[in-house]
Amino acid sequence: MAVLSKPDAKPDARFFRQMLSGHSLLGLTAAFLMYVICVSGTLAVFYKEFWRWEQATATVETMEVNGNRIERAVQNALDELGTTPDSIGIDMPTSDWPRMAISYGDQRRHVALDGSLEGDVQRPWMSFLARLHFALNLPLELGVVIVGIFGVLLTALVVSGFLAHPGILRDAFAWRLHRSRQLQQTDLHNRLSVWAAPFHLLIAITGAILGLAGAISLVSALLLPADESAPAAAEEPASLQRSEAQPLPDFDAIWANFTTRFPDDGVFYLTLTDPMTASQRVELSAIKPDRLYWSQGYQYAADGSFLGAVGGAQASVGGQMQSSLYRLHFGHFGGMPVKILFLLLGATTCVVTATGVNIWLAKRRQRKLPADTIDRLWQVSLWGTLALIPFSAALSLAMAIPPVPVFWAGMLLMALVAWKSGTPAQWAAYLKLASALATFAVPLVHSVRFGSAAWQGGGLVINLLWLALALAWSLFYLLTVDRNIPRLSAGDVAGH
Amino acid sequence: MTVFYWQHIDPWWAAAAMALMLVGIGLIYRAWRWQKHSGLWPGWLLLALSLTGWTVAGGLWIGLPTGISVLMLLVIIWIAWQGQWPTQATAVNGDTALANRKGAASDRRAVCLRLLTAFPLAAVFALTVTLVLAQAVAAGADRVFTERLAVTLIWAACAVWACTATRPQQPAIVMAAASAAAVLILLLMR
Repeated sequence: MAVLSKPDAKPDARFFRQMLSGHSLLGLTAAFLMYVICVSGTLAVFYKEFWRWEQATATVETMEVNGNRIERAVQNALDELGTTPDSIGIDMPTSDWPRMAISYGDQRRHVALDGSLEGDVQRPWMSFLARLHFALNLPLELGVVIVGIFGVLLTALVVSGFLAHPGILRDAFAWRLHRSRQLQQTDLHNRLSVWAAPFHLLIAITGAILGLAGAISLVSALLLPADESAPAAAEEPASLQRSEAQPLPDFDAIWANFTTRFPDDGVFYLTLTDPMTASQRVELSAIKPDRLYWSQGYQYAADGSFLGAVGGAQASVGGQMQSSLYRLHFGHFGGMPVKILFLLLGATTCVVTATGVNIWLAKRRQRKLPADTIDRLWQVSLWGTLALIPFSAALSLAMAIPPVPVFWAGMLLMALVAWKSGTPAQWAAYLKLASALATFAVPLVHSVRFGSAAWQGGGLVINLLWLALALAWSLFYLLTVDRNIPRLSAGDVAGH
Repeated sequence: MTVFYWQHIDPWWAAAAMALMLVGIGLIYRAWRWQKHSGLWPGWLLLALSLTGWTVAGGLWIGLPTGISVLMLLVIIWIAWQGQWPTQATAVNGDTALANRKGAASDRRAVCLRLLTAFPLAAVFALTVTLVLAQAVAAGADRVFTERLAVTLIWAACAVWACTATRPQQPAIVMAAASAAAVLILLLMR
């Protein structure tokens, strides 16, 4: 089977050993947090569907947009606010979030079909999951940078992984799950990491740039002279500043102009700056169907005349590439099919992380080195994460319990107990079962709370996802659990 | 009114590209499994053609990344389908397959040095060297993106070097010296 590599080539064994050692060192440094970032990121691909799922009955779901609906929503927001804010934003309906919501001051409210304001937009569990992914639930300034560093680490792991494996082509399709546990884990780890490497690199590099962007800009500003080519903030002419109140823009004319001029573009955000002043403007942020960048802006004057396009295609190559990182990282560039692809490929990243540590543990055992405590903690990390994420969702839905303490306190508690008690096999078995049960519980709780709305639109997508995961964990539990493992006893918990 | 992307992928081109992809994977697999050398390069060529097909189907921005994602997943499914799965008769356990590898970084001081080099020092090196080199790029969004991409790639490469170098002091010394020089240049430029 060695046709893909020259049989007479003798690689430098010392080089590969050193690479493998470095690869292990990099991987073990951050395995648990890397795994948490991968699992949460894999689920967060469906973040818009999760938003709808969390408030399944909050508002009407429709793609219908007209100038009257927008104008009434803006007027209602201004009336409620009592003052004129610098800007008002409106989330426009898209195929994966067919709702309208208006942001003013520190409020974000759903907008009914007639433009009246409904309840607040609330998504506590999805906020937890998203922040777990991009900031590990730490304060944003710190957490985002730390997660960015994990992106760098993942890039380094992909590169060192390739360099560490001389037989990577020789074993291109090898899948020997009937052999020893170490070989099973090695084959899983190597096959998934080689063939999904473009995805892993894409996620790692885009994640690192998104995470480190702020820190790099800060250092750049500190160390470099000011960029003289950057446009200075334009000062408003005194005549335009807070002159007498003007009527709201002609949203009907703006909408009609836009839909005629750019029929293929999908608006996802509307910004009204300086409302009811002489300088008020409307900017529509739209997705261009054949581009990856985040948005193409279209500016309109208050009377509905088109002022021009900003950002998007008007940006430089670097600007377009920077703006394209988000859709590439989120998997939001091909509708539901690409989201499902990203879910499955994201799952390979989780498996690669898990099997990497499993291989290291198997090697420790082979060398007769102590591994049980680390293995117990690792099983808690693996399966505890998969159990606590749905558990926190069920508690958030059923009793509005904040998910952050549920996840992290639960993880800490399990780690403390696992430190001294049980065996790795026991922890793996019980937590696999707990993951399956907790995942089954989520659509159940959701159905009890939202009734038939739980199985329509975004609720349907997410509840089917939970059910698929629950079935997968159940199958995994039934196929892999060792029926002969002893039960965790009080004595186990008291002290191993 | 709002549209989404999927309808902009031509299904016929996508289906044709997927068929080419499957044939390509099949040829490469055949080359690997039964040592049929003749199919190897045509296999890779078909994969390249299929990605071209995806590009035609959905454009360079949407079709190509979608095609690459589909390719990765199809190969993994193919591997799992042809693989050897455990059965009652073959359920062997006991980690006896691989030889014992020595040479892991057992010395704690060396491990600490490697980690310190791979993370804080490599970060400083990547940032300072990138900021110097990025001066060659026109200012504005192009430079900003170049800086961000270069920091990520240089840092990752340095982390690999720091963790795999035979002598851990070597990358530490090189990175520290280069960082100091870069900071000096940056200070002179201010």
